[in-house]
Amino acid sequence: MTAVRRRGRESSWPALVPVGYALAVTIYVALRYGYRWGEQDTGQFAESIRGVIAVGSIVPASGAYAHGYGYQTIASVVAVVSGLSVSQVQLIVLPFLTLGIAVIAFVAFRALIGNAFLAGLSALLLFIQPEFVFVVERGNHEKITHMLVLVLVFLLAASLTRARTTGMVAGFILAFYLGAWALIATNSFFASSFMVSLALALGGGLITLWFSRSAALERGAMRRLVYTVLSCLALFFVFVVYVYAPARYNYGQLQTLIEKLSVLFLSFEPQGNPYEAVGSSAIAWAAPWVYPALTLFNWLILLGSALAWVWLAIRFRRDGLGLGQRRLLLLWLLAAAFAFEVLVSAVVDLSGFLGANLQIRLFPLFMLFGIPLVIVAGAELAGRINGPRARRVMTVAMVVLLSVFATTGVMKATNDPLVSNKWLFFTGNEQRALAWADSRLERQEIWQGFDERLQEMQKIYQPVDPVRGNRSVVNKAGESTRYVAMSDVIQRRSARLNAPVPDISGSDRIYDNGGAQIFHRVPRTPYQP
Amino acid sequence: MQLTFVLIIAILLVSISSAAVIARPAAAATVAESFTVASFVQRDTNGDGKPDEAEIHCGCYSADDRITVIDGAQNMATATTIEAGTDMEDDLWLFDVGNLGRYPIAVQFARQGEQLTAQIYQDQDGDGSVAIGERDGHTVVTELGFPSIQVVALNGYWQRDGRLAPDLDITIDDRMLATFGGELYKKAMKNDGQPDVVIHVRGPRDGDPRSYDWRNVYTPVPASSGILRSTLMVRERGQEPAFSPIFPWYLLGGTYGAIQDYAGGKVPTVPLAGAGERPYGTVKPDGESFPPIQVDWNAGKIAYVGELVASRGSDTNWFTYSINRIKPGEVTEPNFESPFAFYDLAADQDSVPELQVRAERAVAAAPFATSPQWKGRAYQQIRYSWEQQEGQGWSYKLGLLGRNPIDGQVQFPEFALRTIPYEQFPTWVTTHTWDIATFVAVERDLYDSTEGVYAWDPSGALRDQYYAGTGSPPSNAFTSIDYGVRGEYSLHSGTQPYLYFSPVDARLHLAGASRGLYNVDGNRRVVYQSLAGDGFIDFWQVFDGDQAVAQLAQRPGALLYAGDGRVTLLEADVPTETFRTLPPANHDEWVKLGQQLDASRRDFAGDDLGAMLDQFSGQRLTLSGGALSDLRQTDNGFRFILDLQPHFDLDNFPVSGITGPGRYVLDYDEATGRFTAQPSSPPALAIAVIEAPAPATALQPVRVSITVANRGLEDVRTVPLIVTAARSGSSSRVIAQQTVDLLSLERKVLPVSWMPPGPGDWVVMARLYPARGVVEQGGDVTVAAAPMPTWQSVATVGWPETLPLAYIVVLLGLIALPAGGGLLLLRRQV
Repeated sequence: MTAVRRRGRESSWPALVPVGYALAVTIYVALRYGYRWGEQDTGQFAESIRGVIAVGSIVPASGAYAHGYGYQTIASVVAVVSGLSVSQVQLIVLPFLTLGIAVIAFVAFRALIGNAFLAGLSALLLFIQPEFVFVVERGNHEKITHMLVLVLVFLLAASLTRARTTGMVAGFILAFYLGAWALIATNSFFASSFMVSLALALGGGLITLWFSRSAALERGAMRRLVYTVLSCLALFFVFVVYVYAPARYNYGQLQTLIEKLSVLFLSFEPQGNPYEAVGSSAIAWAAPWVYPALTLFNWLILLGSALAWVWLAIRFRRDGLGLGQRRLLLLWLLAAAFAFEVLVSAVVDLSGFLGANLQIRLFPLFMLFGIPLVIVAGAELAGRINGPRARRVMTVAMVVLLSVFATTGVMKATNDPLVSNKWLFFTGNEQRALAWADSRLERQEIWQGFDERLQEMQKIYQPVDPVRGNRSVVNKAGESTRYVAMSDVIQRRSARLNAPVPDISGSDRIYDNGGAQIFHRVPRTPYQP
Repeated sequence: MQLTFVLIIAILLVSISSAAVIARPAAAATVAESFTVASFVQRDTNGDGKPDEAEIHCGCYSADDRITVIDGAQNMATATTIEAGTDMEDDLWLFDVGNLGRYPIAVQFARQGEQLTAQIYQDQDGDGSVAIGERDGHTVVTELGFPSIQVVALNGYWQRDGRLAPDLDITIDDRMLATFGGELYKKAMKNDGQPDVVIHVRGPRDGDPRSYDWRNVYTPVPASSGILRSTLMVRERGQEPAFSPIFPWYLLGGTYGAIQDYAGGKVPTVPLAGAGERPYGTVKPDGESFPPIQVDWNAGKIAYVGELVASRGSDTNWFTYSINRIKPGEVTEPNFESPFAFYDLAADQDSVPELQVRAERAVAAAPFATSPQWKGRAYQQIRYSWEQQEGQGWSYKLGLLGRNPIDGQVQFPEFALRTIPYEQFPTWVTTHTWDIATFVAVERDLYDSTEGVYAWDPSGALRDQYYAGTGSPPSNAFTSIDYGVRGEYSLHSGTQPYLYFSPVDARLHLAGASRGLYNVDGNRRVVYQSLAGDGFIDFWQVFDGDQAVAQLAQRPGALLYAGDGRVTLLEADVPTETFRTLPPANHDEWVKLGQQLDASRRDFAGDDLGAMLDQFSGQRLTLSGGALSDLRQTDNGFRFILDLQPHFDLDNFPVSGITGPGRYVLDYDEATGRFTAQPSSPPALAIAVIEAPAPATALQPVRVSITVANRGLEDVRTVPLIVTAARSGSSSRVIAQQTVDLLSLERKVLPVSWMPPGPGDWVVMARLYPARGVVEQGGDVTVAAAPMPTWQSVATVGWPETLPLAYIVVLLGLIALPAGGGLLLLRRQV
């Protein structure tokens, strides 16, 4: 642990590295598609935010987000105060909250590790991890929830390691519960799964302390953790039962016990999975080697964190739990707890009980603790390398790896069409063509491609006029679908997916802006429109 | 003399009895004659010297029922009759049907100002009895939960003269069938203090002769659930029929039926009085009423709250069943059935309708459509049935499908409906044009139904797919019909629903019909066709099973008959129609149609084609020993296949070219009035060529042309054609399948659209499957690979006008940041 303790424990300037990269990534994500991108969660929240603005209530008449109101409320306030559109707020303004995440990640990691350089490195790696970047850059609540989780972790670590006076303890506790309430209000079931992780960590901590016959101080800390978990669960109960009716309704709608437990423990929530295979995993990516290459960083972190966790366990066993180990113990316990949740989620996913991507959802949460664990162990390992040449080689190797993983990370996070067949972007021509179709047609089905890409565009940028009653159809176009939207992007995607577009030979081209067209299929019966 | 005396006494007694009923105080318990009272005993249970409890033993539902009446306001008069010794203003009535020692039903009466109320309790905790106890010195219901039904009599009385008070408000708060179709939401009903169904019954008032029963369902079900949220039954004038009460309180009754109606077919625990005779359920039969709150006394639970105003059981009523809930104070556009009306075409005022008109509607504004294809679109499906021949039940029916505007409103004091007013509805149907029409005639003696003739409603896939514009007519549409019923259809009507009377078969037909079917007895059938395609039936074929036994064709100036081994050409000018009419919409039109039908009536059966021919006079040209098939129209006349037997006799039949027995093709030239025969040859199918334009590209549509031909002299119809495509080394896949009609010597090109999934050398194989054997032909198609997008075109997706290299530069710039920052931190740390 010498490397960890050696220097720079309380420095702040290393925060500039992750913050600067978070800023660059945010700008890159926005500019990669010229702000013309979106996915299901962004679309869902766009509708919810519009509903909040329309009725001036956290519970809109329709499209209420069942798990909480925090993100929609913030987005609504920004939209109303600034006069910006909902899509601009979601995809231009709020992504810059990632800078705040970078700062708080640094602070939290520093509190857990006790070393500013390693904390900066950990926070930097967090923004290289593709799943994390994706969820904080898209237009949903996760940029808030992850930030709040990091705040709570910092407060927890700080209250255990820094609180010297009763006033400080009270301040940390008050701040913790405020943060917990904010997390619950943003996504109550995400918060509940965080609390379950805390409970798991608590359980693990109690077992560890029992084995180590630790001092009364640690036992006191664990007792406080018990109170914390119970209090947070009480807050969750109050929120779901008394404060936010959609959460109560949503919970009441769940049919089976396993669904209810999954919601509480695993934050189960059907949501868009950008990495879901389009038809089959074989064609989800541009080539078979792409997926392993893009996820190599994750696998290395998983492997590294597992090794680091075992190494720390041995170390705790060997050296006991001294005062200096307390913060690392918290990191060790939290990493184990979240790893356990990811593992259970993966099992539930594979079992097919619930049709949602649980492991994808919880994986970034695990990374909050897996990455610093790897960094701590890596620093310890690096400290044992002797000789300037060896150190230079190692430094160069690390920089090269960082470059490679930064490239793969940002390409996977953006589902870049160079590597992915799940495209999230759209073009201005497609936007104009569908706007024209919706303004001219009434109660018609319009084929819009192979998946929800253009449907989400409409939700985010130009909601379909409900009075006109047009409906979009994707994938297969049946006989009732008389209109087909076609574009260069759809044609290219057809080739990439090896999926045919609807037969429009002989159809009437009723709109063409050069990059996108609307076709009317010739009626085959007197009653076809 | 003695008999006369008895009659006079009897009449006097009845008169006195009736007067007594009329003179009774409004809220007093009135007793009709339908139940018998065995005993009426009062008791003083608190020792104050006054009666406070009465026990009635009656033959109400079973032979021995016990009703205990507990005084609620210390006003029970000492008396020997129910009327004098009980009241329905404050007493608690407990019902023990079968005298089993328990009270499954309790009714607490009360008065609120000018109104009376009744709270009906039923057992909630499963002990078979409603619990009662003492509270504030009064005996009250202490059963868990809430009243299952609450009734408010707005007129201040419950019943008079075998009829219920006209204005009642009823609230249902428990699991029971209280609306038509209530089975769909019954499971969600519960006794929770929240109304499940709210019923408003109103009688005539302020010059408005209508009575109505309006029910709104509030049981929580998903918004997308297609339950009937509102039902409205309206009587346009007059009173609902009186009925014989079962209990002293007329609203309460029971379910009846055969023993097997009870669960498991076991013997009911309560001996039934008049089992199987009384109506029960939610719907009234013609001209009858019954106590609406019906208890299944064997289970001790309220089973139904039946309609108080009839939906169907009258000839002056109409109803609306709507998935959209009728909202008070608003104009509601009902969907599903509105209106569904019944009329007295015969003006016989017998409560049995002679005309039934039903509109099944989808409305554009409904958020959920019964079929997704109709979401946001409106249609009306009409069933227009009428009885032309007395005692037949229903005689004819029109089924119509169209999309006509409905802008009429029907006002009620509490709400309004956007629907067609009752009086205008029949005319509204007959004056509008309809896209799809069916016509059904009942040829048998009786077709009994409370909702008209169901056969050949233009519904199901015909409506939700073909008419909705999502596909072809379903292949099974109009291929069968009930026995004794004849049907015809037009898939592209576009006119008012005219009918015409054919002098050939002396029957009404649908003008514009293309085909029809008459199921004579389950085995024998008549198939109708319009060979000329002019909307008149001109070809009749009679089948026994699958065997054609007789055929009759009507041609300009001639009738051609084939049957019994002979073929007859009758030269006669038979008009296509005797008269043309719209279906009757009122009494006068109904009478007129009846007169026209009577005047044109013929006494032959609908499948007796020979008799149809024989009714006409003219020159008969007949050959014997021959059978006719495959009759069809040609440019000059018509043609058919003639199968001549060895013993044939041409007699005076005007044909040339016959050389002996065998199969011949006979062409009839209407200009010369003669047949020309040539020896027939069977259908000889061939697939001449399969062509695909080059170059074909994967994932792009390829128009494959398949040339098929029939080189025989006989027609062939509905031959399956299956087209497959296969790449070497892989299994074939079907790219098209359809049926083909090929006339004699016909050659046609069938286009097939194919989207090759991948590049390669493909073999497109077409196979025809005639009755025997397979005809197949293959064609080679070389498919090029679909061009993959270049990396440059994909890299610049967000910025199509920029250089792809710019993207690489930006990406490298981005990567430089973590590389540089990481280097900085590593150097400080390590």
